Amino acid sequence: MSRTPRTYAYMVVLFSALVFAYSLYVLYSAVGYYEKGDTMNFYYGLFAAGVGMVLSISSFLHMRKRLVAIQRSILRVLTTVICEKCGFKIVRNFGVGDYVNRQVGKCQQCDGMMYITTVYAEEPPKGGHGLFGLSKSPSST
Amino acid sequence: MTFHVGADMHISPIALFDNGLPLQILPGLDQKSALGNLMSVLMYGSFIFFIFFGQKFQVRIMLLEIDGTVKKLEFMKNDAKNLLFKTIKEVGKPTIDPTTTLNRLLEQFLISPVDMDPAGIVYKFDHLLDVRDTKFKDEVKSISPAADDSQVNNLENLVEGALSLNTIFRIVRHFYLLGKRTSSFYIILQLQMILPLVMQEADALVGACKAFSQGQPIGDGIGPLVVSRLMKDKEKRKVEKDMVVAETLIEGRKVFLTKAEGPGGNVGKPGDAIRRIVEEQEGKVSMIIMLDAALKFEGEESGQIGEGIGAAIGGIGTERFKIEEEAHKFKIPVYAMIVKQSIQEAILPMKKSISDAVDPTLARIKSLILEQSKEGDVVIVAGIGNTMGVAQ
Repeated sequence: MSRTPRTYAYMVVLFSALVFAYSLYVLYSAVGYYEKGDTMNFYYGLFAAGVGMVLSISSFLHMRKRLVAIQRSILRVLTTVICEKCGFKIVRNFGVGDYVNRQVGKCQQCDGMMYITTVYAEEPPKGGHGLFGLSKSPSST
Repeated sequence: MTFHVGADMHISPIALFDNGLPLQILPGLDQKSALGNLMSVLMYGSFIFFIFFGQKFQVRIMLLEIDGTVKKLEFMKNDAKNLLFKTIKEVGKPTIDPTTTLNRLLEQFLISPVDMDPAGIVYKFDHLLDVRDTKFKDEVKSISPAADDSQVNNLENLVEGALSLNTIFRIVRHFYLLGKRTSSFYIILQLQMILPLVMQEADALVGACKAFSQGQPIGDGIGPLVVSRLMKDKEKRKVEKDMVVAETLIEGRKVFLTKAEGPGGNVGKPGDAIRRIVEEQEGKVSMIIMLDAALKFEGEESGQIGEGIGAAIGGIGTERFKIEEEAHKFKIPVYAMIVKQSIQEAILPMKKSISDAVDPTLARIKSLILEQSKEGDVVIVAGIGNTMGVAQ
């Protein structure tokens, strides 16, 4: 099984959540020590819980930032092919050898000539990347 | 002298070290406890440490950060180099091992002409750039016998991308090692300050190398893309080095369209092409419109169109000089039309927001021609930029 960025994201989130949960438990124990008057253990616990929570949140945010950066760097390049006669339009993945104004055969609708009009990179979605920094996989055209 | 910490605490400075934790910063903590003593030692120890070694510590932290970046840059450089080797082998089908030639190309440099006496420097520079371009193309051709002209141009662009990454890596490594050797805070600080911008450019170059290896249009190609729309189905002829010209009629105006010859990665010599057209028309040209990609400010949208006056063309300035000289000689107004994008977008595969600017730009060009010329006039429209993936 190949590990996708999504799998790594889930692993990191799980690890961060576990560390965070354990930190909460330590914090809870520290409060117990405080109530018993054991201030030294209270401070130990408080310190450990604080470090744990900061590290887990930081690791989560850091991974999210990286995933967003990776997602932004993966550009899907598409080719638009248009029939000059009837305007029939196809958008497909870019293939090596595609270039603007290249003739790519006859139209399926009207038998006219089809040309590549644009080759462009799909832009990452605007307005956030979800909780884990991953947007949904782009659907094939 | 005593410190009045609380209502019931009077601590003399001499007693600070005798009593463990003198300032009760953690309520409820026993000052005589092991933790209290440890905290006290840590506090004073770190205070003294940062007084004497603070800057050295900061330098170490910065060096550690720069070291990571240098390693990342090295990885990027090697990645680009491997892509170059792979593409040359796939497309060029070399009969000899291209390693030596490619390694030599990746270390190439250009010595600028002497500028103590600047008269005539533009043509000296132009000559050097021609020699460099010819040398690169010849070397690439020699190791890619199976590649056609377009592919040779794309491969040459790929070599340029890999060379740029190699140069960035070498410069950053140089200052990193220099800073490390001399422990110079200011060299390291300056390097650390510019690294985010350097890395942005390096990231973009990695993306650009991928685009060059596949011949995909890049953001900088918006000028040739717009002009190619007007050129389609018109008769074309080659002028000057790597430039094509076509003629069309727009509302009774004779319009000369020029762009670099595609679909291989090429910027051509628009200055020479415009000069040739102007000379052919004996200077009777009513306007020149130059269309190019231009740098946007942060906060601006990519693909926005801007209009201005002057020769819209980047590079060292030799082509701009020729256009300005010709325009001045025959008193031809030069109009600039730009499509805004970031420096990264200019070398990455063309984004949709930029390619969507083609139709509005065409409309603006037509309205500018109608506003600034009359029927029967001659107009030149030049699409400036790298024409990779855009034929005519």
